[in-house]
This record gives sequence, C-alpha cells and structure tokens, in this order.
Amino acid sequence: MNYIGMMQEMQLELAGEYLVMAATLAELKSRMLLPRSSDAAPEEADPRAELVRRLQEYERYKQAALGIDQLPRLERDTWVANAPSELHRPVSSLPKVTLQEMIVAFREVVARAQMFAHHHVQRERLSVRARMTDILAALDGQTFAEFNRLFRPEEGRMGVTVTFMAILELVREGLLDLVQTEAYGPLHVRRADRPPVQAVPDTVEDGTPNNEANEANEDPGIA
Amino acid sequence: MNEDHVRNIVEAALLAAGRPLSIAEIAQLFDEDVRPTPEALREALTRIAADHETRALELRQVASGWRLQVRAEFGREVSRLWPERPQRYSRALLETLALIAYRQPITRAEIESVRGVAVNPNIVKTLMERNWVRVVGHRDVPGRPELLGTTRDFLDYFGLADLDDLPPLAELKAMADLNPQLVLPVASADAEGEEPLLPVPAPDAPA
Repeated sequence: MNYIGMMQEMQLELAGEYLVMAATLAELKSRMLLPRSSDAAPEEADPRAELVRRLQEYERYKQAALGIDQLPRLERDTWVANAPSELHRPVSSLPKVTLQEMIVAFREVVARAQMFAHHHVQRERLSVRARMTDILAALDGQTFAEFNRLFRPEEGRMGVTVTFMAILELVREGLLDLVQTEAYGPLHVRRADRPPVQAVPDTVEDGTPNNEANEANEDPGIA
Repeated sequence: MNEDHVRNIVEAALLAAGRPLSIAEIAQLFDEDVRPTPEALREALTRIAADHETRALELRQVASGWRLQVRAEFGREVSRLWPERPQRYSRALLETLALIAYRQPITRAEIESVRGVAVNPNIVKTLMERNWVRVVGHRDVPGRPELLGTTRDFLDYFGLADLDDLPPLAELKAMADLNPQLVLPVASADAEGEEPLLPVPAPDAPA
C-alpha cells in the first residue's frame, strides 16, 4: 500500500500501466502453476503467446534502433569530402540591379503612390494660362525648341508641374507640336503651323485645375 | 578523352560538389561530344574507389548518388574540429525512426502499438524537420491517419543507398525456441515455473 501511495504522488498513468502489466504477468504465472488436467481440452492458445509476440516485436525494433544509431552517420562519424575551388564557385546567379534601375523602379513607385495621394484643391498660385502664354511667347519665331529647355528647375516641383500642364494643354488645343525623332531621344516642341487665332481663350480661364492636376500626375509614368 | 582524364574530372566534381552526385549529374558535366557513357563513368567511379582504398577518404554510394567521404574510422579525431558535440538522439526517437524505416509506410497508431506508448509529437516533428521522415500518404480508414515514411535525406545521412541497406531486422523466434520448457508435461510445472518467462524483463516493455 505504501508503494501505491507513493505511486499516486508520481505519475498515476504510468503506475496504472505497470499495475496492468504486473497483473497480467501474475495471472499468467498463476495459470502456469495450476496443474492442468492431462485430458485438457484441445490445445487452447497459450495466453502468453500474444504477450511474448509483442515483447519480441518491440525488442526487434529496439535492436533496430541501436543498429541505426550505430550506422556511420554524417556529422558524427563521417563528412562529405569537399575541396572548394574558386573556379567552381558559381557567381551568384541573382541578377545584378544597377542603381539606375532602382531609381526607375522607385520613380514608378512614387508615381503610383501619387495616384493615391490626396489632392488638395486650391486656387493655383501659378497660372497655367499665364504659363501657356509664356511658352508660346518663348517659342515665337523659333522652329523647334528642346522640350527640356522649357522647364525651369529653379521654380521647384510646382513650377515644373505647371509648365508641364501648360504644354499638355497647348498640345491638346493644337497650338503646339511635340516631336520625337528617335525612341528615347529628346523631345522637341514647336508652334503648330497654323497661326493661333487666340492664344488664350478667356472662356477656359477658370477651368478646373483639379482635373488637370490629376492628368498631370498620371502622365509622367506614361510619358 | 582518355580514362584518366574522365576519372580525374569525376573525382574533381565529387570534391567540389561536397554532396552526392548521381551518374546522370556527372554525365551532364561533360561536353556532349565527349560525354562518357554511364558504364564508363561507373568504371571511373570504381577506379576512384580503388585509388582511395588506403586513403582517408572513401567513395560511397548513397541514395542520391556517389560521394567521397571521410572514413568513419577517423571520425573520432576529425569530430574534434568542431567544439560542439554531435547531436545525440534519444532512444525513443531512434526507436520511432527504426519503426518508420523498417515498417514504412506506418501510422502513428501502429508505432504506438509496438512501442506501447503514445508517439511523442515532438519526435515526429524533429524527424520531419531533419527531413528524415515525411508523410507519404493516408491510410484509407476512418480518420485517414497519416502514413509516415523515410526520405532520401535519411538514407544519405546514414550512408545508405536504399532501404535494403538497413541492418537486417532480428528474426522473430518461435515460442518453442524461447522457452522449451513449455512443452514439458504439466506434472513437473510446480518447481520449474520459477524460471523467468521471457528474455526481456517485463518492466522494460511499456517504457
């Protein structure tokens, strides 16, 4: 009883398993000790056979486990020979990314991000109309002007955007021709052949800057 | 391309690769017009094996191909290169692995019925993380229990070419061989009954 009491403090489940096993063994033992009448019924299955079979089965795999443990094993008993050669060291097959490509990618991301940006609609401080007039004036008399020259970076993003919008507006109205001689080559701008009747139609003066701003924001990615 | 040259290219490839190479992989290394036949490559491998007979390395065929490896007899000294001791695996893990290796595909329940205790989920997880064991299917019975089997990595790791290379499983002994006394007449049972029934002490069984 002391023993069982002790077991209770330990793992009951384990104790139970041991007790079952002990009882089974005791039962087998007592059966062995009882004399059997010689005219016993036809050979009944030996009650120990199943237990013996299972113990044997387990013993086999216990041995097998030892066998596996004794196999020469990588990292314990043996190592794969390796003579690294610089010749064979493959150059990393990852594609190289140039700084330029990164910048292009970044610009695309920025452009995309800008589509989701909130546009604060406010009265334009720089008039697109005024800029359109300026551009036409600057082009007056000239045949072609380089597209880039029309921009004045010192005006900042806002100024550049206004100039760009002005050019787009002029092109849309057929007042400017935009020419590109070769792919990725510089763009050239000239006044459309037909003389402008009215460079700045008053009716468009109060056009909605909001729409144009959206166009302008989308276009750099496409241009 | 003469035989020595082929032999040396094969050996160089095995050394540079640091992993098992199959015959097909080795063949791919050669230009098409001078590519040796598989037989010629096998011949080269045989020569490499013979050349290493007395050396520290040996050529061994494992599941994924051929590899040059340090002879196990030098393992004790070589292992001191690394401060950490090689991982030791518990008896429970090795027994579980043995059951999966010898009796695959096998379910957890079948492992339990042999070992007498529930399969520790961590053991199966460890075996899977080591990529020694994987689920190979599901038994078509209620619950569709997972069938576990060993992987090629397992064979490679233990230096085996296939499952037949596993150490042979001990034979099951017939009852009569275990304990001849059983067949004796019942009359003498009172004294001899004290003999141990089994070669295995019973308390070990459920461990």
